[in-house]
Amino acid sequence: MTEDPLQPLLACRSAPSPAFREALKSRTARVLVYRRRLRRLAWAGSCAACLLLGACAVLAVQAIDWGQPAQHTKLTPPDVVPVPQPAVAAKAPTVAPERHVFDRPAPRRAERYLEAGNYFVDEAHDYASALRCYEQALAGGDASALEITPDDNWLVMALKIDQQRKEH
Amino acid sequence: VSRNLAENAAMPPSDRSSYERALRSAVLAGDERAWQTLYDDAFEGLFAYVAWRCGGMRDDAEEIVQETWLIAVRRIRAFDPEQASFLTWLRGIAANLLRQRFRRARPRAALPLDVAADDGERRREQAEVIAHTLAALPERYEAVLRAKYLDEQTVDEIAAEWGETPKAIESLLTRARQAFREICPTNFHEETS
Repeated sequence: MTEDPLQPLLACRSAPSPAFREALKSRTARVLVYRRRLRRLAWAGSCAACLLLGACAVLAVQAIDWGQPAQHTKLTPPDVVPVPQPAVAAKAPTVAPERHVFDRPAPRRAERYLEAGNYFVDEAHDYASALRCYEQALAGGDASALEITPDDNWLVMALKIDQQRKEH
Repeated sequence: VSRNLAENAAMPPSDRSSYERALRSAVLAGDERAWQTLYDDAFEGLFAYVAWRCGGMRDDAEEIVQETWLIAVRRIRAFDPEQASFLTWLRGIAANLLRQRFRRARPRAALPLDVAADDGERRREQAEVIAHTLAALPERYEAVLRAKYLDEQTVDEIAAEWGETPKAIESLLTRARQAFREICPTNFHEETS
């Protein structure tokens, strides 16, 4: 078996001194403690910086003149205006006034037709019946009946104007 | 928590990894005792490695070991127990420092070195030559020489650990020795061969 020429060179041994070992252990532990303190300090610094920034932000917001505070309009339900409901016409027989007309003597019929028409316009809001009554009143009357008077309502006036145009 | 190096080395890799991961987390949280445990576990192994790489130069070895530990304590966050053991990580740091140190300054001219000489100056020169030569070797050659001469493993043990055949390891050792001789100053291998 050939002798390994590298054996005496590469098989060297060197033991560390206990003092070196302990000194290095203390030194590395100190580094560890130092770094731990540094980390805590950095963390505390970050917290302080955040608090400071927050306080500055609050002060800055308070320093700004925001003018009049915004009017907080209180939302209230709008006043309900009662809508006048059209009075429901009493379901009185709408032809009754016209029937009464026939009970009257002929010279008074025009007047009764007018009254009946007025009733249909003012009370019953039945304009078709009113129109029919007014037409009867004007047809049964003389020429003077076509003259517009202050007592005529809009429907009578319109009919009179129409009749006058037809005659002319 | 404290276990010695032998226990640590004998641990299965998964246990070793868990153990060192727990210690690393504790150290990162600032636990001094966890650091001392890691330190005690790895100190002997690291010193032996650095001293071997320094050719037995005690002063240089202490300097490199000190520098390695100071780097380790500052960069413990970079240590990944899943990748390698703490000792292997430390050896990596030390290997970089050794390479920087011994590749930067070439050894003085080849001197007639006598291995058996008691003379302190000659021993120093011989150690320097060994350190420079190991620093200049490819990593795999350095690793196989370390396994053979520092860890005193047999060829079969190295083969089993590396997942190679004994023949391949024997061949690697032969090439590593050859490379060592070639890098060494001429007078040195004339004296030693």
